[in-house]
Amino acid sequence: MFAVIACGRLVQTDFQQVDANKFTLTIPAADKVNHLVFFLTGQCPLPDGAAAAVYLGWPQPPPSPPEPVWSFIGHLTNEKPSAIFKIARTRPQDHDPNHPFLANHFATGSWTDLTCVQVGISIEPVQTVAGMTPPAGTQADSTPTMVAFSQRMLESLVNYLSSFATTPPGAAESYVPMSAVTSSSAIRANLLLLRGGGGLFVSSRLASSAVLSTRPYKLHKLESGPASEAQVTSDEARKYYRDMATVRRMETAAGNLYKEKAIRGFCHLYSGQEACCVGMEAVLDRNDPVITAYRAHGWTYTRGVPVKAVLSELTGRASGCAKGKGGSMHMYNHNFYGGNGIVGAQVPLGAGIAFAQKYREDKRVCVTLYGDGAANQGQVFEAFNMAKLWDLPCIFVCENNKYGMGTAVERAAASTAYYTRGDYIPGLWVDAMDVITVREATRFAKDWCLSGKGPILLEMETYRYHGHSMSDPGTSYRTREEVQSMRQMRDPIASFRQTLLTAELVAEEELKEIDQSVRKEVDEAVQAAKTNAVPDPKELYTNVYSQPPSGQPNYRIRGIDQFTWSAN
Amino acid sequence: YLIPLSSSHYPVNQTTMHRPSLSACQLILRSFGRSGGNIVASRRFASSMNVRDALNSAMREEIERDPNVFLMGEEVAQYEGAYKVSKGLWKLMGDKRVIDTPITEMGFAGLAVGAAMAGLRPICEFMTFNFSMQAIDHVINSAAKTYYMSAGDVKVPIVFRGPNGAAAGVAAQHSQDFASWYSHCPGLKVVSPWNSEDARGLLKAAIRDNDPVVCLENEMMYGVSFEVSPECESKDFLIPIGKAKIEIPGNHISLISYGKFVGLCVEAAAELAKEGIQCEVLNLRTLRPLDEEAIVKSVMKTHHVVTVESCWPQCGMGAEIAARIMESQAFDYLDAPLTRMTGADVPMPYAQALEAAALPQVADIVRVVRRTLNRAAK
Repeated sequence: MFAVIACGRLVQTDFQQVDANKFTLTIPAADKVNHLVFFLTGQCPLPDGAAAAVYLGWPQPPPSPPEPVWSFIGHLTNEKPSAIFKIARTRPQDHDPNHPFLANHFATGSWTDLTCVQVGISIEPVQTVAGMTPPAGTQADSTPTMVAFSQRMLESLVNYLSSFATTPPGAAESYVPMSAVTSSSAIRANLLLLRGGGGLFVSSRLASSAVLSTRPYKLHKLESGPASEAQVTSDEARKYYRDMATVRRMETAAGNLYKEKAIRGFCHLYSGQEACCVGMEAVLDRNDPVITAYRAHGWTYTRGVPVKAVLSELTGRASGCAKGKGGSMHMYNHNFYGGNGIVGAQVPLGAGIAFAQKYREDKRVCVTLYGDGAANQGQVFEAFNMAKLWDLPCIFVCENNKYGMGTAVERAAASTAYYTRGDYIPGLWVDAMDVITVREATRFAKDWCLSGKGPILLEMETYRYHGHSMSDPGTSYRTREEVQSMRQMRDPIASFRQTLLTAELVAEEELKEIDQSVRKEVDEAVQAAKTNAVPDPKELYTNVYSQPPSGQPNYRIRGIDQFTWSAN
Repeated sequence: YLIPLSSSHYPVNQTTMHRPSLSACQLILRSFGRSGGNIVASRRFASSMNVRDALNSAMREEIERDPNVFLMGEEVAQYEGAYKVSKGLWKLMGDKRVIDTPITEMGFAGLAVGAAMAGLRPICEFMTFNFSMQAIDHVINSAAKTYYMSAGDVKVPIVFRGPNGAAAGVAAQHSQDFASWYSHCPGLKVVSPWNSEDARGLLKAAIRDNDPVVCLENEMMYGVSFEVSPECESKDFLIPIGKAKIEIPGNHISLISYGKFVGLCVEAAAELAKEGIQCEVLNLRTLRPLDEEAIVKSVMKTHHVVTVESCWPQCGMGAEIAARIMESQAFDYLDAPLTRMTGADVPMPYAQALEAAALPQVADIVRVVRRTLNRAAK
C-alpha cells in the first residue's frame, strides 16, 4: 500500500504490518538521507475518513535506552497521496514516552544500528491527524530552492534575450539574433543579475531568527538556571560562526608558525574551546573587563585585538599588540587584562578589578577565567572568600578542559565538580561545546551579578584539541581516539554549523563565504606576522616605569654592563 | 627624645621674624648649638611628630585628596592598625576607604593589584614584610612587571607598605629585612623612610606615584619623635623618589644607610665627632633607584665609606653600593675598601644578647669607622 524513496536509491515497499493499522520499515544509512518521498502505491486506497500518519524513529546512542525517539513528520491522504519530507534529527527532549510506536514489539530492525531510521505509518482518522504538527524543519519546501532558482534563472535569461528580439521585414514573428544568444557578455550579464537576485532570493527563503535549544545545565545553590532555549538572529549566528572560525584558524596558524620556529617560548592553543570565548562575549560588552590565564589568544581576539596584532605579538614584531614585549601569555587590550603566566594569579587580580568596579559604582561585571589546573590553587579560594564577603560583581569561570597540563582532572582534584567548589558561591555547570548554551549561561550570570547578588561561578566544560602547549603533543596522557572523537562528535564549530543549516538561519553558501573570508584574513595576518619589523632595540628599556622617579627625571636604565645604558 | 636637626631641614631663606624677641621654642632650638648654622627664622614654629603620626597623617591626607586612594590590610580599620599606624582613619573615612582584609596575603595583595590595574590607587599594608613573601608573586609578577609586559597599556599605581626588618625579640620568621629583595626588581620603586619627615614625604610621593612602590618602614621607629619643618606639614609635602639626603655633612668618612640604621649612624657620628672624626651621614631614602650620584659625590669627598643595613651580607644593599662605587669614578678616590655592616649571616635569634649581636649597633659602627680610618680604638 505504501512506498518510500530515499534519493538515489531503489524504492522501498517492504513495510511490515505490525498492528491492525500500523506498518513499519527500516531505512538503512539514513544519516546520509536528507529527504524521503512517501506515496500511496495505488494498489489499495486508504479507508474513507482516514489518513496515514507518518512517523520517524531515530535510534539513540548508548548509554540511552535502546528504544528510538519517535516523532510525527506528516501525513498522506487519498487526496494527497504523496509527499516529500525533510528528515531532521529530533532531539532527545522531544521523546514522547506514550508514543504509539514505542512498544518494542512494534519495531523491526536492529536498534543498535545507529545509522538506520525506522519509519512508522499509522492509519488514523483524518481529524486526529489534522491536529498533529510536525517538528520544525521536516516540511520540505513545496518548491525546492534549486528548482525555484533555476526557474528564475531561466526567466531572467528569457527576459534578457527578448530584449534583442527583432522582426525582420516580411517575417511573421520576432527573432533573436544568434549573436545575442551566444555572446559571453550575455551570459555574464545574466549571471551578474542572477547572482545579485539569486543571493537575495536564497536568503529570503531563510529565517531571520530561530529559537534554539540550550544544552542542560547543572546548578549549585541556585533555585533556577539559564533559559532552555534562546532566540538567535541570523546576524548573530553569522557573527558567532565567524568569530569561532577565526579563532580556530588563527590558532591553527599559530601552531604552524610555532613549528616553523617563527614563534618561540610558550604557545598555548585554544582550539576546541572557541564556544566559550565567543559565547561569553555575545553577552558581555567592551565595558565588562575580562582577565584570563595564558591560553589567551582566543580571548584576545574576541576582546578586539585583530588577528594580525595577535600573530605579530606571537612572532615578536613591533606590530604585535604588546609591541613584541609580552608574547603569547601577555596580550592586553582595553578592559582585557591579559594573558597571565602564573597559574591562578589572575583570579585575585580579577576579584580586584571587580572590587574597583564596585568601588566606583560601575554597573559592570568582571569575568575572571581560570582552568581546571588552577582551580586547586589556594589564592583562588582566597579570592572567592573576599568576593563573596564583599559582594563583588565577579563572574568566576573555570574553563575545564579535563587536563591540567598532563594531569587529568581525576588525578589532581579531590572534587572535580568545579562548579560547586565555590562552596558558598552559587555555580553553574555549562556544556561549553555549544555557543548558545554558553551565551545563555553568561546572560544568567551577568544578570545575577548586576542585581547585587555577589559573585557566581561558571564551570565551562570544554576540550582542547592540542596539547597543553606546543611542547606537549597531548597524546601521552590521553588517547588519539579521544581527541578524534571529540573533534568529530562535539566540535563546537561543526555542530553550530549544522544547527544553523538545519534551522535555516544561514545558507551553506554564506558559511562557505565566511570560511573563505576568514582564511584570507588569517593568511594575510600570517604574512604580516612573518615579515613585519621587529621592535626597535631601544624598546628594551621602555615601559619599565610609567614615569621616571620624581627625584631622577633623567633616570637611565642599565643594560648588561656598566657601559651599556638606555639612551636618555 | 628629639633628634638634633641639621641645618638642611630648614629652607635657607631670609624671612625675618615677626616678633622682636625670641620665643621659648626658638631659644630651645638655639641651645642645640649647631655648628655654623643660622637658625632660619620661619613664620611658623617647628613642631614635633612621631613616625607613626607622620605615616598616619600622610595616609589621611592622601585618602582625603584623591577619591581613588584607599587603605587595605589586616586590622587596619576597626583595630586601628596592628601598630596603630592607621589609628582613627576608619572612624573618619569609613568602610569604603579603610578596609579590613582576611588573613590571606596572596589573595588581598592580588586583589589590590587588580584594583590598581583597573584604575584605583590602593595602599596595601602588610602587617610586616615577612608576610609579604606569601604575596611576593603579586608584588613582582603582577605589579612590577605588568607595565612592561603590556608595553605601557596597564599601569599599576599601588603602594605596598609596612614594617620591615627586625623589631625586638620577634625571632627569625618576623625579622627579615627585604630591602635587597625588592630593590632587586625593575618596575618597582622602593623607598625606606628613617624619620618623620621621610615618612610623610616619601609615603605621600609613593601614593601619588603611578608605578608600584614598596615602602619599607620600621616598627621600632614608629614611636620615635622628630622635629619636622613647616614644609613637612603641608598637605602637598613630597620628597622626591630617587634622592638621598645628607643628614650630617662631613669630610672624613661616608656612612651610607637607610631606615632605622640612619639613626644609629647619626648617633655614631655624634660620638666620633668628639674625637674629631667628621662623618657624613647619607640617608638613602630611596633604595630603587639608588641615588648613585649622591653616593659617588660623598665618597669622592670623604675617600672612605661604610654602609650599614640589617639585610644579610650576601647580595645585600652594601654589596650593591660597593659595586656601584667600583664602577664609578669614586673608585679612584677611595683610600680604603668599602666596609659593609650588615645583619649577621644567621636567622634572627630570640635571646636578647644574641639578637643584639646579630645586628650592627652604634658601638660597632664607631669601631668600624675607626678601623677604616686606621685610628686606634679609644
